[in-house]
Amino acid sequence: MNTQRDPTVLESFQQQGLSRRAFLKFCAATASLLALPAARAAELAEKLAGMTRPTVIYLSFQECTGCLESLTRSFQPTLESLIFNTISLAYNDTLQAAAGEAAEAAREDAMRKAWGKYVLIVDGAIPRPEDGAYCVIGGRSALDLLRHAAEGAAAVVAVGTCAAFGGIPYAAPNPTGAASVQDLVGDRPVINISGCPPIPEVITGTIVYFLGFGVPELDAQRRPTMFYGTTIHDRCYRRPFYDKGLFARSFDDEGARNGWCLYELGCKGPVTYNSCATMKWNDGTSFPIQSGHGCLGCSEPNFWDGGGFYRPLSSGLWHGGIGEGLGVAAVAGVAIGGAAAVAARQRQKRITEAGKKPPEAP
Amino acid sequence: MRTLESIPIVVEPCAAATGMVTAILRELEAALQALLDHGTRHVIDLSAMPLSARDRQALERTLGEGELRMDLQALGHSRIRESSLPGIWWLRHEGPDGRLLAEHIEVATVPAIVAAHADDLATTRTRLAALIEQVSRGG
Repeated sequence: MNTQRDPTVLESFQQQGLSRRAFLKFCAATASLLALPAARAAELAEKLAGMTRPTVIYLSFQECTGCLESLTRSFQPTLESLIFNTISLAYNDTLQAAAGEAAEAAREDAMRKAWGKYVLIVDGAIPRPEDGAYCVIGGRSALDLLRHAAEGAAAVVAVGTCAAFGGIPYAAPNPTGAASVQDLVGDRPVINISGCPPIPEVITGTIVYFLGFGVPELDAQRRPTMFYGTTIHDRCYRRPFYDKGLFARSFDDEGARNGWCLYELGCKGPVTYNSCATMKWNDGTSFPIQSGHGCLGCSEPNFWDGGGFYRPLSSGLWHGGIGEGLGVAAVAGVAIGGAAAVAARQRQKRITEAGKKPPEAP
Repeated sequence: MRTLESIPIVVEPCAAATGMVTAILRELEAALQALLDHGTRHVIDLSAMPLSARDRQALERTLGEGELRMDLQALGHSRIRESSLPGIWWLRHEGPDGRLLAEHIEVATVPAIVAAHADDLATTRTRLAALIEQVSRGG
C-alpha cells in the first residue's frame, strides 16, 4: 500500500530531478522571503519534506487572469514555479489540460477525497443577484461553486483584490452585484492576498507558510501581516523627501527627476499596505514608485473608486479623506523628520486648501 | 529641447556605517558559544539585515577568507565559503537565473546543506550495489 500513497513534497522535488539540497535551498529561500527566524526555517524544511502534497483547488470567477499570470509568468524555474512541487493542483481551468465534464468531475473527485483538508484558492469576485446567474461555469453559478468548495476547505485563499475586496467588478456602479470571498464565506478561514495583481512571491510565500505553520497572523483586512504589515510609504526609498517636504509637482519637473516624493501627484503609498517597496516586481527589478509613478493603492479595498489616481490623498476623496492612514504617516514623519516633517505637513495643508484640482496625468 | 543628458541624476549610495557589523559579530559570538556548549547550529539571514554598502564591506573584511570554498550546483549556483574563523561560514544561494535567493552566515562545524543526508546514504547503498552488480557482470 505504501507505494500507492501520494508523494511527499521532497519526493515530488526528487521526481522532478531536483536533489535534496535543491529542496533545502528552496526552503532557505522561502524562509528568507518570509523573514522566518533560523529555527523556524529548519522546522519549515523538516515539515515540508515529510508532508504529503496538499490538494489545491483553484477557482476563477470574475477576474482577468492577471493574478494567475503574476503567479506563473516568472522568468525561470524559480521560487514561484517551484510552488507547484509543494502542492497538488487538482483543478485550475486555465492551467489544466482537461476540459468540460471530465474536468468538473475531477474537481469533485479531488474535493471529495481531500474533504476538510484541501486549500481553496479563489481568484475574482462573485456576482450575487439572480442566484449568481452573471457568472456560471459548467452549469453552476460561481456563488454555488464557492459556497460548496469553501465548506470542505481547510483554508480559503482569496488571491487578488477582486477576490479579497470585490476589486474592479465591485467598482461603482457594480452592475453585476459582485461581492468578495469574505462577504460570502467569511465564516471559513479566509486569507486575503490583495493586489492587482499581488506580488507572485507574496502568493507563493503565503501558501508555503500555510503548509508549514497554518494560517499566518492577519491584519484587520485578513491579509498576512508579514507582507501587508507596513505601508508602501513606510518602506519607500522616497520617504526621506516626504519628511523633508520635497515633492514632485508634475511628472517631468526637476523634483520628479531628482526622485522626490510623489505624494502631490496622487501617490496612495501612505494608505496602502503591501510589500512592493521592499520585494519589488519582475524579479526584484523595480516597483511603480521607482519607475516614477505614484502607487495606485491596488491592494486596498475600493481602490478603483478612490476619486482619481492623480489626486493627492489630501484632496479628501480616498477612503473619505486624509483619514487614519495619513495620520499615522504624518505622526511617523514628525518622529523621524522633526522640523522637516512640520514643513511637509504645512505643504500638505496648502495643497489641501488649493482645492480638489488634480495635476495633469502623464 | 531637453535631452536625457540634461536631467540631473544624483546617485547617493548609503555610505554610512550603521553599527550593524558589531551587532552581527556579537550574535556570532553567542552562536559560537552555543555551538561549543550544545552543538546547536545558527543561521543569520543577511537579507533581513539593513546593511549599508559600507557595513557589508566591513563585515566581509572582518570575517575574511578561510581555507575552504565549495560550489553547490542545485537549483542554480551556491557559493559556500569558510571565513577566516573556522566554524563561521558564508553562504550565497543563487537561483537558476543567477538571481540571489538567500544569503546566510551559518555557525556550524559544516553547513547543513553540505552534509549528505542519512536517507540519501541508504539510496546510495542500493545504487552502489546495483553498480557493483553491473560492473562485475560486464567485467
